[in-house]
Amino acid sequence: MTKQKKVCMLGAFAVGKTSLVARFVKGIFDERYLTTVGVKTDRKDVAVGDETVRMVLWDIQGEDELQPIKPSYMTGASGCLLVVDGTRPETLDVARRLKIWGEANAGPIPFVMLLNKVDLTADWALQDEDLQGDNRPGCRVIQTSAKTGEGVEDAFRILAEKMTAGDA
Amino acid sequence: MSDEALSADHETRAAERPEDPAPTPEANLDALESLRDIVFGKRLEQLEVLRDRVGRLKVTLAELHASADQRDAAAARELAERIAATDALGARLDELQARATRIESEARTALAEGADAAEALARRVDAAEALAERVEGEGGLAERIEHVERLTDRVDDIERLAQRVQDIDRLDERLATVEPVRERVVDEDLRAEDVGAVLPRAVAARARKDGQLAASLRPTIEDTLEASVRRNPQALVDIIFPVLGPAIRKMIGSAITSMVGSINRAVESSFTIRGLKWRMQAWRTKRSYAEIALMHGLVYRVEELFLIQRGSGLLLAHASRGPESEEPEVISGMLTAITDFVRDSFDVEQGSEVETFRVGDLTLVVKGGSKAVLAATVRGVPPPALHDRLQTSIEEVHRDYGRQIDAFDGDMESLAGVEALLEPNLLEEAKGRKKRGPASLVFWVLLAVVAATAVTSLVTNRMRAARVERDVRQLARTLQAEPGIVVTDVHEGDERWIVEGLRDPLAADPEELRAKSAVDGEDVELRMGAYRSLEPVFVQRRLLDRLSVPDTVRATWRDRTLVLTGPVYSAWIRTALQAVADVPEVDGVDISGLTPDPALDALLVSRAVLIAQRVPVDTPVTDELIASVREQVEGARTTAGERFAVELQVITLLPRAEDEPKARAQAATVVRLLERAGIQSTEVFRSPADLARPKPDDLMPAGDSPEIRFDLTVRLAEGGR
Ligand SMILES: Nc1nc2c(ncn2[C@@H]2O[C@H](COP(=O)(O)OP(=O)(O)O)[C@@H](O)[C@H]2O)c(=O)[nH]1
Ligand SMILES: [Mg+2]
Repeated sequence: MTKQKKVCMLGAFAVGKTSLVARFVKGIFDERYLTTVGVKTDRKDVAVGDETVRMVLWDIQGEDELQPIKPSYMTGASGCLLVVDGTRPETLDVARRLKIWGEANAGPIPFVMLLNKVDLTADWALQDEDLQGDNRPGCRVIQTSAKTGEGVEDAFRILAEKMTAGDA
Repeated sequence: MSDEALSADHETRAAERPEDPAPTPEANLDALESLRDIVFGKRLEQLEVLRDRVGRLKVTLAELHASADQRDAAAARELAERIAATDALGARLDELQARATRIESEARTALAEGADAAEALARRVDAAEALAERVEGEGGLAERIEHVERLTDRVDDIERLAQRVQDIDRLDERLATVEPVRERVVDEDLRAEDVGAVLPRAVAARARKDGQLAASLRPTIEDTLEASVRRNPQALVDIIFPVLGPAIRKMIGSAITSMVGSINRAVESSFTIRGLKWRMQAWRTKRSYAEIALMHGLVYRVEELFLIQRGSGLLLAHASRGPESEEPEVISGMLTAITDFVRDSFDVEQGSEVETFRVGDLTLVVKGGSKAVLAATVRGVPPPALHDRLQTSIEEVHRDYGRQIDAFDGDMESLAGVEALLEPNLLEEAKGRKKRGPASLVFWVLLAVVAATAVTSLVTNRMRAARVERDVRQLARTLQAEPGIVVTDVHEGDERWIVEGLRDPLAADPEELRAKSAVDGEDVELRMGAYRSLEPVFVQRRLLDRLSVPDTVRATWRDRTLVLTGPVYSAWIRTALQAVADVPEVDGVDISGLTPDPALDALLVSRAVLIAQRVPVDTPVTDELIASVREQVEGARTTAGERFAVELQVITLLPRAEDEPKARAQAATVVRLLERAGIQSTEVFRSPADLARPKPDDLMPAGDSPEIRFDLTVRLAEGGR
């Protein structure tokens, strides 16, 4: 059985949302920085047990923090990936705020928090204690790199599992 | 020392004296010594203590003095005085001691000298005692101490005061630094300047902190915007368009790029003979392959149908004819994002849908219900009936599957039957041969463009309205400037602009002027009443039309005077004079160049005669008739001479169609007989329709039955003018 699920990418500007989607869906990473406007959707199937979760990924292009996202973006979402740039601790605050905002608009859906750019070890600026309170049953925290692919499959798979668990 | 103790001493002395009436010097000395011990010992002890205390006080005072010195000069001076007083007290005590010592030595001397001396000494001691008492009583050391203590308190006070003064000094200092600030605060210009300097940072800081600033600014900004938009909407449009237009195009552009890859592959792989032909054509005409593909084929065809869950954008069902999109879920999501964007950005009423996205031959029709949206991709021009059909279809979907849609968990199987409701909408109407192939995918490339254009067009609608108005007004000015056209009103109708006015029938065609302008025919209706313009051009043209100036005459204008030159039959001169006199806008007519020509007059006469000779078709053609016609023609030729050509027309008037064969046969006979007599003629047949529109030279109206008329036309011979 195949089930479609709307998944929203949320996170501050340039944390790597688009790169993560590209890595996950197409298996590519492009260092060039592209900002565009609007929303782009992508699709990827993930097998969970004997089910297939068809993730329809909504990614806001070039969203900047001063411009509030429209609530319609979250409507009907079954899950959400919160992306943090591990080299910029302030993006963690943004992610936390976006989580509250997301829950307000889509209800209590599963979240997975991605601490992205883990390949940039020299610049890494997040301590474990910074994340106390984030890694909870409702919100797993995973280190990822869109560049090397580390953790990316895991993150999406975990979200897929959580979303199907919600159905059962 | 207590008073009790002193009185006890006195008793002791009183008791001793009567017991020792003749004291020995020795005993006296002892007594004196013990007296001294008693009196002075205690005194000295006390003095010692006092001295000690005074010393300590001095130290304290010195300290206080030192500190007071620092703080308060006046207090310090007072302190110094007090200390001096205390010093004096100390000095007197010293002196007292010195005197006591002297007294002692004197007493010793006195003892040595005799008992009298002792007596005297005793008196002196008494005096000393009294002195001591006085010293005690006078100063009241305790009081002094108390005083000093009060002094100390005051010093404390002074100290606090000094502290205050210091505080005040500091305050003054700070006040000095504050003063310029105060000035800035008081001076509005300076303040404005200051606030201006920090405002951007302040705003940024607050915005980082929370959304309060935005929240409180919002109403003001919105009001201002609204007011300014109301006052001058064009300004906003001018500002927004360059920003929003490209942004939207960019957004949709990115949607396209993701699809283009797969589409291209599909297009490339669809190499049919026809596809190849189209590709050639595209290459030749430098247009896109897809465009060419669309040119051939269909009136319209519904290619794909997407049933989309409202809000989430999830695909509920999908139906297509021919090859379908690879990732309909992505298209479904993107479509939702685009329509959401349009709705959010342009304040489209909640629940109402942007129904069509169109460019050229391609249309995306969207019909929305409360739970789901039906989107159809249509190639060609969708007929209005299709809209109704899709509307009905989405209503059926809501009726039959409303609950399943509410419960939709992403599993399309749960809505398995819904496709059956959609499929009947996959309609098409062929233009000719059927077309298959990659159209669906090609379509998507184009659809993206369509969508981009549609969204943009939504933005541009208002701009377009403004532009149309500008162009219409420009057109009205052009019309107004045109001779023979008067614009009386320009206003906006329900669907289009309306330009009202008057037009001389001889003036330029307003529709033609419109076609040359920027205005689309659909945007304006030209309502032109007829009138006669008094502008010279029109007056002159009308006059000449009425005069039906003969070929032999040239008509020109000298200002408002008509100048006529050339040969003419005399009767026409009168006609011309009369006609000109009737037109007040023409000053006069110059006929000095007209030459009345008798030959032309004669021709006119013979023509009249000839026309008088008309023959009903069923009368036989006699030799006399032919001879008579020949005579007239030859007579005219002789008169006309070389300058004029004379032509004979055999005109058959046919008021009834059924007479035609008979009349034609008769006419042919006449022509043949004339020819035999050496006269060339031209046959003319005038049908019932022709006769319904009489010519100006039809001097005699046609009767009910067919007849043949002989008509002589005279015109200047070639090279004769
Ligand atoms: N080194 C590194 N760079 C990354 C990673 N993910 C994204 N980037 C870079 O970060 C920038 C922003 O990425 P993007 O995906 O556009 O961020 P978005 O604004 O959140 O969509 C781009 O220059 C990416 O190349 C990562 O895991 N490692
Ligand atoms: Mg991005």
